[in-house]
Amino acid sequence: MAFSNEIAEYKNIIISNICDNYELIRLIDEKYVDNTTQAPVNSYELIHKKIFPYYYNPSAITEAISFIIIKIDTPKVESKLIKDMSITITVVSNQDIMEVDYGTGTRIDQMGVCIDKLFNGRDDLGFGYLELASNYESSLDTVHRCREMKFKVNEFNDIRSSL
Amino acid sequence: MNGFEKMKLRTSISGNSIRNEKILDSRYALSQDNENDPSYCNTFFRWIAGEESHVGEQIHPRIYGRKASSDRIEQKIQTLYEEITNIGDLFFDEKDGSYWICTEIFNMNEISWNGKLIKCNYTLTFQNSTGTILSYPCITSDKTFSEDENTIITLGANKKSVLLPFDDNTKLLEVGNRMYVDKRDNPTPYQIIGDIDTTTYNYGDKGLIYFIMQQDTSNHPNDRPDLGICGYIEPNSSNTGNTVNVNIICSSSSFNNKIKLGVTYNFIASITDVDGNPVASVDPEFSMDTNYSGLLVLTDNNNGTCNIKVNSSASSLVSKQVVLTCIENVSGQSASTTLTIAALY
Repeated sequence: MAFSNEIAEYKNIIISNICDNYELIRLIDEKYVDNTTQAPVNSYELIHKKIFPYYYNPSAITEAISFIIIKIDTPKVESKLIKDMSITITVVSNQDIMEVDYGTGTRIDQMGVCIDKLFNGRDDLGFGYLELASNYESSLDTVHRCREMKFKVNEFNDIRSSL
Repeated sequence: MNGFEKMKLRTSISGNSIRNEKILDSRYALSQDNENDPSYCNTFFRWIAGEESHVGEQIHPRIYGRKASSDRIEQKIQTLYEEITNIGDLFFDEKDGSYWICTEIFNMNEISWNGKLIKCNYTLTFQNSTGTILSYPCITSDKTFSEDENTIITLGANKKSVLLPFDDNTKLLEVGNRMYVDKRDNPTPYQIIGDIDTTTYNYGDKGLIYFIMQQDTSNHPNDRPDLGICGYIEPNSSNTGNTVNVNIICSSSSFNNKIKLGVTYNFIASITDVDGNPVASVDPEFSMDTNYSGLLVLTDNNNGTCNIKVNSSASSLVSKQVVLTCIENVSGQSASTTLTIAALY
């Protein structure tokens, strides 16, 4: 891919994988999973509601929810052929619902585990393997706690190198 | 996929042989320069004829070699290799509202499709056995149809030749069927006579159907010139005499007729009688008017439900439409719904 077409393509892949992951969707909103079959149900309806392909400003949220925000950057262009891609997936939760009555860890800890399992080491984004570069726990505002996970991978820069 | 696998993929994508590489390079060169040529036409669409005829996907052809003769207008077409074209395909030119039938097509060394289109001069309207009204742009003339101008014969008085695409609807036309082939407010009905030719132009996946019609001067009380239908029958009055209502429902309650890339949608056939009660002993079957060269997959679960999924990488299909149809085979009743392909986010 080139000409930044990969940004939309990466987000498509990331969002598709998130929507198809039962454990992650269960942590975001239990109404969108079937616990009997352990499968997501109509989870794509969470896109732009609790799965955002951009850095959503949580100040407008009035209810206690958890959500995921995604951003993709090109922090460095190595050469005409190669550029660095940085994928930042931030799992966010209102502090009032951080406690989860199953699994180990807080809600954002468990969501972070799901994200790590889904994306760390996969090789269908860019070329080479997607690497987890950092994983920080932080806050977005006074009530929203988050875990910001950055992944990095190389991508083609020049169209003559595109597949 | 590791680095070696990616290298093999890259090699196969660029062509496993010199011939393949030249073919792929030629396709690429054509696609890059296609829209820069003055002959490029950006108003050409496939036409989906039959029930609820509508515009299909846009194609990106070059149009050239326009010619007019005493009984036809034709033009040559070149399309990109991905835009597969068959003899019998119908097209709509949005620029002037004209319809065209493909009567010749050649696969030019796997680089492009080159062929010939003939302009349709009439839209034939008729009903199938269940009363569904079907319409097909066609070529009609007072002469026989032939590519060789030396073998064209002028038909006798009160006769017309009709050339149509061959498909599941037109193949059911029979000798004796009556249709209007006249633009006037009080049109003249014609009747199919002689042999219906389905083999002379039987090329590719579709082909053409050809027959001769003769003026029918007899009175028929069910003729409806206002609808353009001879021998009109009320829809839903099928041969079985059973009247059922068919509806297509999506299992997602918030469905808005948009199908997103990469998402599987489940549809259910709701088949009820006139009182709204479910009907037993039904045999629903789902189909689509196009699958966009396999990028759109319909799986009929054979239990009154089906799944539809658009390939997650098929971003070129965003905003395109597809018609999902459910036919209940016992009663012959059917329902259709138009779905629009949308991006995932």
